[in-house]
Amino acid sequence: MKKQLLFILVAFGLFSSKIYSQSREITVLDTVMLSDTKLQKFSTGQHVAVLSDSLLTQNQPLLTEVLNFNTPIYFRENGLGMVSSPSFRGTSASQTAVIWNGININSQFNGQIDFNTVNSGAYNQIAVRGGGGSVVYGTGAIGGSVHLNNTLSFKKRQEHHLLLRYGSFNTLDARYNFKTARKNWSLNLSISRNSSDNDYEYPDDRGENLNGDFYNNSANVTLGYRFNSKNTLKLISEIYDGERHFSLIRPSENRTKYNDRSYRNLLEWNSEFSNFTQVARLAFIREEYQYFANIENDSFSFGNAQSYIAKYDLAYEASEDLLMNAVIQNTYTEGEGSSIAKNDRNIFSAAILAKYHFSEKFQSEIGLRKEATDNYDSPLLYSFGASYEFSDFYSLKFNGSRNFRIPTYNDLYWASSGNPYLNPETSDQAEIGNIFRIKNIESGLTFFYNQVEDMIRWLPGEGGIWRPVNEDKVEIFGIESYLNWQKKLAKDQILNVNLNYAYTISENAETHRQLIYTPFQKINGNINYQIYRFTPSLQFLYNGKVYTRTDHSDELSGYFLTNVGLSYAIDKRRNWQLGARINNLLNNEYQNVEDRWMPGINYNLYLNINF
Amino acid sequence: MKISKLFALGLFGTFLLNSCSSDDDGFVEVPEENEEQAYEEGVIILNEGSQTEGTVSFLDSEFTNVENNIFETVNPDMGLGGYLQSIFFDEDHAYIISNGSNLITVVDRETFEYEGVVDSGLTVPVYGVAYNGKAYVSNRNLTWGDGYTTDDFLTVIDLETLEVEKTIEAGKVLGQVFEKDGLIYVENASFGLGNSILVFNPETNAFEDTYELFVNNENETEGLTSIEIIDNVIYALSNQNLYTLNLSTGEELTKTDLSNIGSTNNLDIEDGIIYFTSGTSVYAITEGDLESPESPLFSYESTSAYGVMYGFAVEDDYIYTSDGGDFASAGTIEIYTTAGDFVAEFSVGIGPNSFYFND
Repeated sequence: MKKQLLFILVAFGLFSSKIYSQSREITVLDTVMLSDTKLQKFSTGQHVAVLSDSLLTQNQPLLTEVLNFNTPIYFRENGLGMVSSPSFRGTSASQTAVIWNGININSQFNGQIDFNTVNSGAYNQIAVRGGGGSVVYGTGAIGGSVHLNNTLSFKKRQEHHLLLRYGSFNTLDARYNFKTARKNWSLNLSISRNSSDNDYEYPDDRGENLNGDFYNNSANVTLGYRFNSKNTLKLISEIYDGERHFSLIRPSENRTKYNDRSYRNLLEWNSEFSNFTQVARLAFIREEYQYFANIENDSFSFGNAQSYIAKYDLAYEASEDLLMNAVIQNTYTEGEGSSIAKNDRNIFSAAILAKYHFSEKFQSEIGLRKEATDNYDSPLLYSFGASYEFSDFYSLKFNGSRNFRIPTYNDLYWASSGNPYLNPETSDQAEIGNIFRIKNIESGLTFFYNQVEDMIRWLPGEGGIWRPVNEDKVEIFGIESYLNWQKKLAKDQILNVNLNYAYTISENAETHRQLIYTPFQKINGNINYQIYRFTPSLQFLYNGKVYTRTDHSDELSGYFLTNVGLSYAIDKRRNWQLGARINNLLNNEYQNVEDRWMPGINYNLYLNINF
Repeated sequence: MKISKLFALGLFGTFLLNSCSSDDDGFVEVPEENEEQAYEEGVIILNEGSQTEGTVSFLDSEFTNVENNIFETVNPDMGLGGYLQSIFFDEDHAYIISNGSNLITVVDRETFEYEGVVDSGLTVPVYGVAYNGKAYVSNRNLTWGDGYTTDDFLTVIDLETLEVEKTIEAGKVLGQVFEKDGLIYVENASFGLGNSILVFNPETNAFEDTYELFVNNENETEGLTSIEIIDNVIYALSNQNLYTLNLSTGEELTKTDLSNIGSTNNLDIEDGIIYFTSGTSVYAITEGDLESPESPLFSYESTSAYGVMYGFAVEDDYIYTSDGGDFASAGTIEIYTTAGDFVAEFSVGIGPNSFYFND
């Protein structure tokens, strides 16, 4: 019986204990290899939420949408599918690090990732960790980090998985995943495409979303070879190609478009000997963009940057209770653009980490990192964390860290306005987490405090030319909380609830005013109820009001969104599902950037098959 | 948007209430406040906006009150577009240029009532001038060369039909546009890059002459920042020099070295005095004595640590300066006498960039 239940859970994408599980529970997937092993081993005192691939299947592929409905991260989106930047725990867009298989991929140009240029279909797992992480992940891990992972397993199999989704505004989401493993070889291939005319109506006859169409394609190959039980070679290679037309506020505006392409390659050799584990990595990452300020013209402005990364990671299990780890990394980057002369920079970093188990219930870790570069003054970064399980009911966690965000190519080298004398933004932060567990319910409540100094801001200087300066100081504090509940109500009936609530005060330390486009409150949740072959689901989101002016003279009101879905298992054994979803069921009008209306009620149908 | 409108209405209402209750001596003199000419006398302030649409503020000629969002107040549910760059006028109309939305909105210059819009044929319009029933407007073509500066064009607009009737490529960057004695003079400069003045003949609809001011050798960074035409003389200010040219021949008459000041900008000539700015300071010299001044008339006193002359004008006895602040909240304007004495300061819309005068 139990086995059957587990099967159903997996089969119907209800493996939700993973949706918000503690970091240590990620190891449930013990046959699955992740490149980003630090996330499991060095997150003591922090909360890691893992979005399983089955959950990713249920949502639209744009990473903005996936995270918006499943995590406390707030997004500022210039209309559906357009430029989207995160605010994680009240921080700025370049203060969320995006980690691809353990490698930081924030743009060299603006220090951010546009979350609408990531197709979540390319990944097997997405994890989100709140709070600082620069010691392990480097620049930008201030508000938190988002981890895009491809997994590999050597368990013998051959699986094809196909998802097709079609909906309003001629929106297509197609994903194909092939996994195979034989003897010492393993292959994981993902191909996805997402496209949309995106020509939705604005509320109240304000017009139509013109010039908003987009497409993106991504392909990811993960190939592994196991020499023996202690030596594995792995290659992950990914290409992303996207084109977006940026939507207009008024029909008379110039029509623009933006093409971006990224190449990410990682070669990794894992080996173990006596009590040592070493991982050697070589990575090559390239980002390219082209911006057409007027699509009537063929001319464009551009930026290209490539990074060559060599990383060596040596872990030593000194005893059953003590794990020590040293990581050295060299990153060489060269970039150029229309307004950026060719520049290169080299950053060498060294980090040491240690984790100690005082007992099964009490563990702690510390970490230190220092970078050497002639590009900026690099501060010493540190982190420490501890967790203690008082009882089955209650655990207490603590984490504190110093983190940074380094100046970007735009900040340093933008023609006639870049400022080569910038320092990194630094953040000192601490958090206390409480975990409560009763039967099938797990709930977490985290208090955090974060002080960010030397924030880089572009301000008008002499002659009206905007230049970046280390200017602002921001003070952030708030709470993040979650609740996960899973209950089998009767035979073949399972209820599954996940809720998040966050309250964030993020204010300019001088004016004591909340930063613009940073809501005080965000609530979201997912409720699934599986009855026999049917699974109705409800997803909701509330974003509180945001100020749009630094003097708080204007604001966007909060909004509430509801999505409902229903899926039907055509073939239970092979996990074939047919589903339908209604987004923005209440047809609420909303925008999260001023003058950028989002769509009203819209629909999609999907088919999910495995063979 | 809704909230800012409400806020503006609230402010306006408060103002009306105050002005009504101040007279309580029995003989209440009801002012002959003709609603039609609400903006007949005073200063029009253009706020370019940033993420959101730009607005227009109005300051009465007594400097007692600024009314923000006047276009939206007069024409509910309408907007002027993004990044308002400049306004040009004819007798009865104001033409408000939005370079972010490719619009030129036509309003009655004294009531700000909407009269029409030019909404096609423009590509990032920047400056214009009305002459003889037509408007001549400079546009950016957004072809990426060395910046977006290589193939700007001039559009000729019929002011009756509000249709673009001709587009003339200039092959170079275009900025401010002036009309004098039947010819159109276009600054070949933008963002402080450029070195000449183009002469356009509306009879033939062609550029007929180029007055080149200087040529940069390697590592030289002189750039034209603003021009003015007074009688038969063109005054042209670069970031280093002030030139005067013969209007009809383009011949250089004088050249004043201002490099002791540097980064000079915002030329405005009023009553025989030449005013310009550098950083946060305002300088003045007389037309007859073209020597570089040693000290500023006054320096910009602002609580903003990065106060910048985002807009600047001199009209009659007053100097008007504006400060964009952080471009994410209300900007401010300050008024000084031409002697440099502070008069008043007001909070306006986002990114105030220019002043115009109704009288």
